[in-house]
Amino acid sequence: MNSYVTLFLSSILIGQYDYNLLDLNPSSGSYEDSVGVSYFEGSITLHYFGHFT
Amino acid sequence: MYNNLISEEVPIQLVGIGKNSHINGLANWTDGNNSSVCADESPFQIWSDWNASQRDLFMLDIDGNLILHQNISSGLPDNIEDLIYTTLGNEISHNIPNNFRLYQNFPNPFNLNTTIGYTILEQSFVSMTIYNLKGDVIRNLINENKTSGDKTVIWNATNNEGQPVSAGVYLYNIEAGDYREIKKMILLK
Repeated sequence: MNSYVTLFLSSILIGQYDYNLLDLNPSSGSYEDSVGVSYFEGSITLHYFGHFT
Repeated sequence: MYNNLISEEVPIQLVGIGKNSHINGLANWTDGNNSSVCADESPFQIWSDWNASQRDLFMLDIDGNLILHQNISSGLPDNIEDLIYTTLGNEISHNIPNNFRLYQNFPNPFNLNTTIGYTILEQSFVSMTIYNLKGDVIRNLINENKTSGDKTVIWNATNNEGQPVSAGVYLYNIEAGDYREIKKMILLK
């Protein structure tokens, strides 16, 4: 069990995508919240990387 | 396909991520301008971490696993909805167990108590165990037959001896038949 937990922990802490960024869209339901993958856990999320600069 | 998704009641969240404050163009993407829009400030850590290029689309499942990474540099394609729903449909039919589901604890992080939800669609013997990061058993929360339905269990941040545990990251593991899933939670003090 220990090895199973360790392996799974590694995938959780290292392999998963996440971030914490402030939602700047006043029309959004999460406006001014710090959002990211974990914020929306339980949902399927689509992340679009838009303008470069 | 769309009807299948609705029947599964899978929530979908859209997030647009731009560099610096140049995020106005993301409004076209974000679901009638009602979705989250974020600016990744220099040195653009998120873009680097995700190895993202301009106009890259990432789709993650309900557990945060990447299920699609596609560059749509020519702009949002006409069939973007087909792409999304096809991917989601495959994910739902192939990867989400039919009979069990474990949900993220709430609140998380937590201080005194946290509630863990799970769903079982047929009567099963269910066990749920809390582990620390070393894999040591901290608390056996459930170890009994359960009827079908939506269930919750509360963990009050104590071990099997009833002693309060220290702050940190803990894992909770559910097993029911052949189904096994593990999630993490954070205890703050």
